[in-house]
Amino acid sequence: MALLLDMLVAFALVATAWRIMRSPGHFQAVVLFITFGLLLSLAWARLHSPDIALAEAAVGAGLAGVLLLDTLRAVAPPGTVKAGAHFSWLLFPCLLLAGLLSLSIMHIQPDIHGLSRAVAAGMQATSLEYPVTAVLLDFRGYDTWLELGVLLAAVLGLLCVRRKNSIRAPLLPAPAEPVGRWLISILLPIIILVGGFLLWLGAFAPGGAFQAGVVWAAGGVLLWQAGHPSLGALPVSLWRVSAVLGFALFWVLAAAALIRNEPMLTHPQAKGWILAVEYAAALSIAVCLTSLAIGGQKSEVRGQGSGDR
Amino acid sequence: MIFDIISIILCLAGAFFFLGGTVGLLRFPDNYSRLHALTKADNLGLGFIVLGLMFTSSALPEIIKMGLIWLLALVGSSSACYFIGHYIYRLPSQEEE
Repeated sequence: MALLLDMLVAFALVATAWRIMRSPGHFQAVVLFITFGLLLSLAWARLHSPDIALAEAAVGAGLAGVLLLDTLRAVAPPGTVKAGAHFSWLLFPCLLLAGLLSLSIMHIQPDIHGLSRAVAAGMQATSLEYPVTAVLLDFRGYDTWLELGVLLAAVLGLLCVRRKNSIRAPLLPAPAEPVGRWLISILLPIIILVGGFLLWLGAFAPGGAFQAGVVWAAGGVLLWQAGHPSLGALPVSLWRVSAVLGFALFWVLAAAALIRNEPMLTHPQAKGWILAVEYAAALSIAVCLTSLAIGGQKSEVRGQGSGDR
Repeated sequence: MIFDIISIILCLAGAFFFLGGTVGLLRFPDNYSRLHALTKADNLGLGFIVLGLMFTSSALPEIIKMGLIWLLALVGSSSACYFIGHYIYRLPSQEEE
C-alpha cells in the first residue's frame, strides 16, 4: 500500500514535469510548477524529511510561485498566450542522464547514515537538541550566513533595478479590498502564531528560521495584496534594520571570534546566542522575502485594485 | 472496531465528494459553475475525511487540530473562490480558459 502511494507520487512528479515542459502558456506552466512543488514536498515527507518538505512547500511552491506569477504579470500582458517551446530534442540527453544517474545508484555504498553519525557525535558540543537546526546554525553556520547574504543582495539588487532608494517606496498599500481584509483578520494572527511556533520548535523538532521566516513573509504578502495600510505605515529605518539584522548578527559573531583568535563563527555555547541569531535570521528572511515579493510589483498595477489573481 | 468502520465509511464519503468535485471541474460549462464545484464539493469532501480521521485518533489535541485545519481550509477556499470569481467578473466578456 505504501509502495503504491510512493509510486503514485513518483509518477505524478514525472508527469507534472512533462506537462510543465509541454504546456502551451506561461501561466499554465507556472501553476503546474506550483503543483510540482507541492508534490515534491509530499515526496520529501514520504522520505521522512519533514524539514525539507516544509521548506519545499513554503519556499518552492508558495513563495517562488508568488514571485513567478508576479514576474509573469510584469513581463507578459494578460491575455497573450505564447506558444510553449518544445524541448523534444532534449528527450535523448535527458534519458541518457537519467540512465547514468540510475547506474550510479548501483555503485553507492549501502551506507544510509551518511553524515548523520558525525552530526550525532557533535551533538553534545552544541546546546541545540535537534540535529538539523544544529547543522544549519552551529556546525555549518557559514552556509546560513551566506544564504542570508544572498537574500540581502537580492533585495538591494531589486532596489537598484527599480531605482528606489527606500524599501518602503514600493510598499504603499494597494486599495482596500473587503474580503481580503476579512481574510487578514482571520489569517494574520494564525500566521504570526504558526511562524513563532515553527521558530520555537526549531530547537528540538522540524522547524526553524527559514520556515518561520517564509510563513511570516506570506503574511506580509497577504497584507500587501489585501491593501492593508499597516506595512506602509512602518518606519523605513525599522524596515532596513530588520532586513539587515540576521546577516549583521552573524557578521558580529564572526568578527568577535576572529578578534578572540578563534576560528571564524565560533561562538560561546550558550543557547541564548544561537536563539538570538536564529530569531534575527527569521525576521530578516521574512522582511527580505516580503520586500522581494512586493518590490517587484509594477507601479501601475496598484491602480487597478488588488485581488487580480 | 466500530470506530474503524465509521471512519472508513466517512473517508469513502469524502473521497466520493472529491471525485464529484473533480468531475464537475472537468465537465461544467463555465468558470462560475466550475468554481462552485471545486469549492463546495471539495470542502465537503475534506470535512468528511477530517471527520473520519477524527474517529481513528485517540488524542484530543489531534482531534482539535484536525478540526482547525478544516476550518482554515474553509476560510482559504471561500476567499480564494471570491477572488477568482471577482477577477472573472471584471474580465472583458470573452471566454477564457
